[in-house]
Amino acid sequence: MKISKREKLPKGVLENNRLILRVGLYVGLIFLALVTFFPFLWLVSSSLKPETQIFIMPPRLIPRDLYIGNFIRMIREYPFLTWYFNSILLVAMRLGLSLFFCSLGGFALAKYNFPFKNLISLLVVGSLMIPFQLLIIPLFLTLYSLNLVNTRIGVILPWAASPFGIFMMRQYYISIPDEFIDAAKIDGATGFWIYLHIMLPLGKAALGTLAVVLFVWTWISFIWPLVILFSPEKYPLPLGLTNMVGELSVHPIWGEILAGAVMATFPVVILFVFIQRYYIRGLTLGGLK
Amino acid sequence: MIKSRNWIDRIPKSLPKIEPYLFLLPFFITFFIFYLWPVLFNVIITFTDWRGFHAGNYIGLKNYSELLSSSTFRKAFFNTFWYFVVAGSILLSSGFIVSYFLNIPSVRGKKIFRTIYFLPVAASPVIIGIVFVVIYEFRYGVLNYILGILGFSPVNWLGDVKFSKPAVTGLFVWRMFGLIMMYYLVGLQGLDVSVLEAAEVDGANTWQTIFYIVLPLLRPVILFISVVVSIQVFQIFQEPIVLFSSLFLGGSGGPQDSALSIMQYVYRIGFSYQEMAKAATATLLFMCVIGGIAFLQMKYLGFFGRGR
Repeated sequence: MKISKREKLPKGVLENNRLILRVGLYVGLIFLALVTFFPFLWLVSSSLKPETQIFIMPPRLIPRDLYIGNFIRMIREYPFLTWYFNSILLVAMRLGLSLFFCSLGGFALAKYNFPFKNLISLLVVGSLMIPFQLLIIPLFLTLYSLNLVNTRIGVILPWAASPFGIFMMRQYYISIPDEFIDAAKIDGATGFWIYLHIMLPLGKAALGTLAVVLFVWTWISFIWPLVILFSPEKYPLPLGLTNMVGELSVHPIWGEILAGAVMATFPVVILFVFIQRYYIRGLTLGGLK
Repeated sequence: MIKSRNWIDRIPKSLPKIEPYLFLLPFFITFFIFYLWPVLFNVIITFTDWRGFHAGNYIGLKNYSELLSSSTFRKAFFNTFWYFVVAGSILLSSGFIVSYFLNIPSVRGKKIFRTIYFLPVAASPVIIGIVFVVIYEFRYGVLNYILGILGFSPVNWLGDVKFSKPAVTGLFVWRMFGLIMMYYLVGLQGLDVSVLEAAEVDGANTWQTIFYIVLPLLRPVILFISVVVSIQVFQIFQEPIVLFSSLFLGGSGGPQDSALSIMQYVYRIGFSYQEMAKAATATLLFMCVIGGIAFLQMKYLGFFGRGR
């Protein structure tokens, strides 16, 4: 990771200070790490307890005996696997459309000169600033008139040509030397050929980064799917599980819900440990610089 | 370039000029249909009694006056502002402090700390919110158990008007902290070391370095972070829903709507009450507030001219 190689603040607080400060610092950092990690830990612990032992005093971090009935019932008695499949499907659709549209658009903004280029760039950056979730009412009505309400494509389409992605890809493509393109142009290559055979291979790293960012965003998205989808069989995981939470006041199904939460969260969180740096690079490319 | 009179000659040469527009076509289409039109439409329907699927009548500023006199709207507005102030200041300050420490060369285990702090970014807030309900639980929750050990009396986090907003803020800060810290870290690493070394040579102490050199140099980063935080805060929606929907049938705004966010309010009157025009009006009013706040942030954090 770039971050760990370029640490360059002055020695400051720690070097010329006492042991106590150093110990205090580590205690603080470890405490924060515990606070951050605790909900994950508690989630796993509770999901492995039978219903009657989830809420007991005093609470136990390590369950008395490991109980996997919650997981089995969650998979057998609820449309959990359908929700899982829906989430994966939404991510796949989102990645397919967005990676193509964003790299293409980013290429145009990075390597072409054309009238209104600045205005268009401004529109791209400007759309980044608007919190679109706030526009759910008119967006919903627009999709209603397009007959896309309660469809999966309706969940994806408004964000398919994501301004964030276009901007991110542009930032990356700009750093690719023009010589590659000029050489291909002399050989009579079209723009799309250049995109396919030069920009895409050279921009693989950026594309992977964008894929990670969009994957995480789509996986955890909630508001828009909630507005646009009505049929439970089309729900992605967060929607399905929240729907079950609503039933809690009638049926005590905590165990099942928590088991579902473990299965929905952990594969992605563990994967994220390894791909975090791409996510961070994506935010850096698309945001700060 | 020589202009050709024959249009057939012109086609191959002018084709590449269409290319960039063609490549940006998906953006243009989505921009007009899903961004620009909804923004305009949102403004237009605020002056009507549009209820979704029938044509609306022009009713002037009635939506505005009704909203401004609605106590629920004012409550949602106040709550969201509360989140903005409290969560915003916690995130902006703690994010800086932790990233500053994690940027000190001699601190060990940085990579592990960073990885852990950043994990919540990949977790769905609604799904993790479920386990927060278990943790916050009044009689059997771990949080009250720990408080009890420390000698505090138990707090009804999800059922008490006074504590519902802190409970939502806890979940929100938990999931945003890593991201904010990471932005700070990227900013800190972009600083020019020679300036900092010069300060050290001149005998500036740590506090002087932080307040007179590091923070002013980080201004653009802080601006960026504060805009990100405010946009996120104003979208608080899933946290209250998941925290309170297990306790209060149908009402997910917490006890007496004490945790209701503006986003929830818009969703409630737009989709539950079908008063879409009014919901759009609430959105518009709130967008103006966000715009105003973003403008102030830019002004005081020096986006317009001045310095750099």
